[in-house]
Amino acid sequence: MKDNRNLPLDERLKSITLEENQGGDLQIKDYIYYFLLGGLFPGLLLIWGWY
Amino acid sequence: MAGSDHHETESAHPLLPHERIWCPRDLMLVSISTSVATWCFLMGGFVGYYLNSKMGIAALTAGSMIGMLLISLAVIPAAAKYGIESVTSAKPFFGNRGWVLALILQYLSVIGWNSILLIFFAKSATRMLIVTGVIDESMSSIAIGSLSILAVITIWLLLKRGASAVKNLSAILAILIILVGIWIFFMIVKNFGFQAIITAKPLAPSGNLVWNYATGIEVGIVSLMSWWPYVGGIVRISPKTSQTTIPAMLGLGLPVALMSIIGLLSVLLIGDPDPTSWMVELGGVAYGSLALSFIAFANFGSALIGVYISCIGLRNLETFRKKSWNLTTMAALVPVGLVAVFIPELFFLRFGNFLAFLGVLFAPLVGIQIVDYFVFRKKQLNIKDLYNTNSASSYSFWKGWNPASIIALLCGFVTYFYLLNPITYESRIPYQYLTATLPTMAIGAIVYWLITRFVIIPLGWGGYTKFTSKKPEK
Repeated sequence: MKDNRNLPLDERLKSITLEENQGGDLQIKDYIYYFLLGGLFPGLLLIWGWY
Repeated sequence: MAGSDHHETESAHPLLPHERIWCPRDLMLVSISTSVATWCFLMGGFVGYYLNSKMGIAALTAGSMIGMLLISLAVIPAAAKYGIESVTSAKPFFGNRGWVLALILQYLSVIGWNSILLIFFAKSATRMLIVTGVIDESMSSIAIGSLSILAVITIWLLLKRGASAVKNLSAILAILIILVGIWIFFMIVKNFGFQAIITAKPLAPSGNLVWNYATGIEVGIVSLMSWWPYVGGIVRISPKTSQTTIPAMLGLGLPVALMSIIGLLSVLLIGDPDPTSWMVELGGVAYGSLALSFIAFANFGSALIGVYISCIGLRNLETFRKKSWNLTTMAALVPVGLVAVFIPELFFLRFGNFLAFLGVLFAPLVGIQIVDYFVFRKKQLNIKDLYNTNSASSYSFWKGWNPASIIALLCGFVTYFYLLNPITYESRIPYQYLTATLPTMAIGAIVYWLITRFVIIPLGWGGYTKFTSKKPEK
């Protein structure tokens, strides 16, 4: 792989505009994990804690 | 890694695929090492004044996970997609000059946290030296000062290796932290028993159970707002956005909740949130001093990552971009060292107030960022314009500042103070039903949406027109 440490910013930005050089968007499974861990799990915990 | 030999992981530039070298396991270990420190005990200890163990565990864990969800949705999609850190991810809504507000917030917050962590580190290590008979109690203030200086120098030396130092140290610390956490839980159960844990009463409940419960949740959510500056700098080194979801939620969110339960139980059973004050008495000198050392190093590990993150933020400034990495780390460390050595007690006393204000500002910022990225930008940023400082940038708004985000931030700030005074904890309805952070975030988001939709976009500011068409420009 080409070692492009210290690549000038312009070239770096040009590279990163290509979709294959990006990390991608969140997938459906990520949103499901977020819902389970950040929504459903806390919701159930709060109900358990209250009763 | 001074001068031209530095890696891009030590700059604020977007990272390319081959530079994003942390696999999900690395990210998880770094996240655990970042999140677990004495601050968790203080969170739990505070909740122990209002809630019993069952309600406290539920409220702290739920609050932390909700807080982590919101922080993740705000920062991760842009930071992990484009390989940018938190401050850069704020340019699309603060403007290509206004982002300095995010930098100031990050710098103050992380420097403040780092100072506290180093004080905790030095205190834990000093206590360990005292209980093992290495030094006398009368030498404790000298030892705290000397250990703080030693920690600052060690962090500076370690950070010469940048992100790889963070990863390597975190791998060891995270495992030790998990083991010590299990040991402390075991000590609590062994010495007090489940029955005492279940029946222990909160120290000073308000008399309104709904209010007490909301306060427990609020402490969890608002504490997690402090992760905003950290998250971008950590996740951008991961190659894929979808590889960050579990490490963020289970590495940055859950461990805070679990370790804060130790503080909660400590207050309920012993009256002191900090287990370092009793672990030697309960665990014996050998195990106790070992656990003290691990807790000291947990604080050290969190401080190391904090300094790294604040350095990356500082590298957004032209002044630091041109200087060596070592000089940047020094700029992040000098104020921390001065506080930890010269005014540790004063800082300790006033720090809660200071942090409360910072937490209040991060809440509306999170709401603004979620609306901007998902609603207006349609998950697309103009990466070139993020680094374009002139008026031709999509993110120049009005002279480089976006009035919508500043007004929304102020509205959120006022909302928080209306609902809850973070210093006195005096509150107004509907705080006990909604907490203060969630409405603050919602108000920030709504005000931002309204101003952007009806003022900023019609004025043609912010480059939104490119992103409102059905096929957004990439």
